[in-house]
Amino acid sequence: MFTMLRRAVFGTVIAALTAAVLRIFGGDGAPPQRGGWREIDPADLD
Amino acid sequence: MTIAVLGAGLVGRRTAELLARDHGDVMLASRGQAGESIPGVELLRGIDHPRDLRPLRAAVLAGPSFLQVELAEELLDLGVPVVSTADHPDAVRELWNLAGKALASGTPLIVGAACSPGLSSLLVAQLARRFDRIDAITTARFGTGGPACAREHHRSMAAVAWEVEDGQSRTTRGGSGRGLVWFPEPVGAQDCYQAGLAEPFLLHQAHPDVPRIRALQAATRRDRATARLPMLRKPHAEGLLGAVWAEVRGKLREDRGGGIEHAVMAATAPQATAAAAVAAAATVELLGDASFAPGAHTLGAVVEPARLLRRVGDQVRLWTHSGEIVVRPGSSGPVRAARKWRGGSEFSPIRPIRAGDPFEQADLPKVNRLATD
Repeated sequence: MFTMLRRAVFGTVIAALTAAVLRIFGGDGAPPQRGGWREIDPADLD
Repeated sequence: MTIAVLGAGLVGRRTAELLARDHGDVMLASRGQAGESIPGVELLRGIDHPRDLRPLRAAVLAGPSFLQVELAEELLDLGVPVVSTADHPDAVRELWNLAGKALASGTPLIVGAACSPGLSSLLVAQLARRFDRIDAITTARFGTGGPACAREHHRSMAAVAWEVEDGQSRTTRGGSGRGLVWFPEPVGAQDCYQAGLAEPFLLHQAHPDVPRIRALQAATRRDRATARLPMLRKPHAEGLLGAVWAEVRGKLREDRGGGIEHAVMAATAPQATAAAAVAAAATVELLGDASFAPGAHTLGAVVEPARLLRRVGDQVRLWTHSGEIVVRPGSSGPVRAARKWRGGSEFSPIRPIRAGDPFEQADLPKVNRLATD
């Protein structure tokens, strides 16, 4: 019983550490937050 | 005199219909059935050779790609200006090689006047006008037109792909070079791959000094997995969702600031409609005041792409992309670019790249200026 509990805690800690590392170092930064596709009126083309 | 559209598939029929609106005298000729009647268009079937037709003012080739080479030769011999919609890379090269014949007969030949190549080439030509120096051109396409187009999409995924690297044309494996391309809605983000497309060859002819040219094609996992097998089921009658996308990177003209920038445009329409609109627009342009000189031409090198884009604007929606990173309210410090967008191991905030800076993709800020023209 104690062994199973120990393995579960160990697994949880490893998962939390992995998630933390990915969260801190694996961010994709700031994506474009404004703008996007804008339709052009063909008459406006120069 | 008459304008002939040779080939009565989806693209041929729509091209004839569009031309009939501007020019009353349009005939649609095919070897087999020409299909249902189209208002203002004379239908002819069982036509094997252009010489069987009455004198022509111009001809649009809208049949199978390799058949177009043979027909183009005959038409050039007859002194008829030709607009080709071929998209098979080998056929496009063969058509381009008819430049000498076109020159000798004093006749213009427009190669690649369809959706891609064609519309995508026009987008590149329009974007290229902003730049003094172009470092990279990338195009991408999504969707297929009629059944022949769907078969070509299937073939090209397993074919040898061409690209330009360091200014030299070279081959690469079809289905490689994945890139995630954001098309306008409703297409959205799509995985695209290099494939056996004609676009790099034609863009290389139009922009021989550009060191890097790639053309991508949207494909699903199933498309890639089954690319080397026969088509597992009959293609759809028509793909109703289509888009082309073009990106140009380089140094802007001095009157636009002279900075390093990448500019993106796209167009959305069912591919057969877009291809027909481009073929019809190219034909009208060919016959107009600004007629093309004798020889082979690609739409990627037209002097006034805006005029052609205005002509296709009735059938195709044109888009420009703008995006910028803004600082959230309450946040302090510089906006950080994604790790993958940063060069080197040291963190640095986004900085504008000035003219003369060494151009590296990793240094590009993810800030697009408004692309209004």
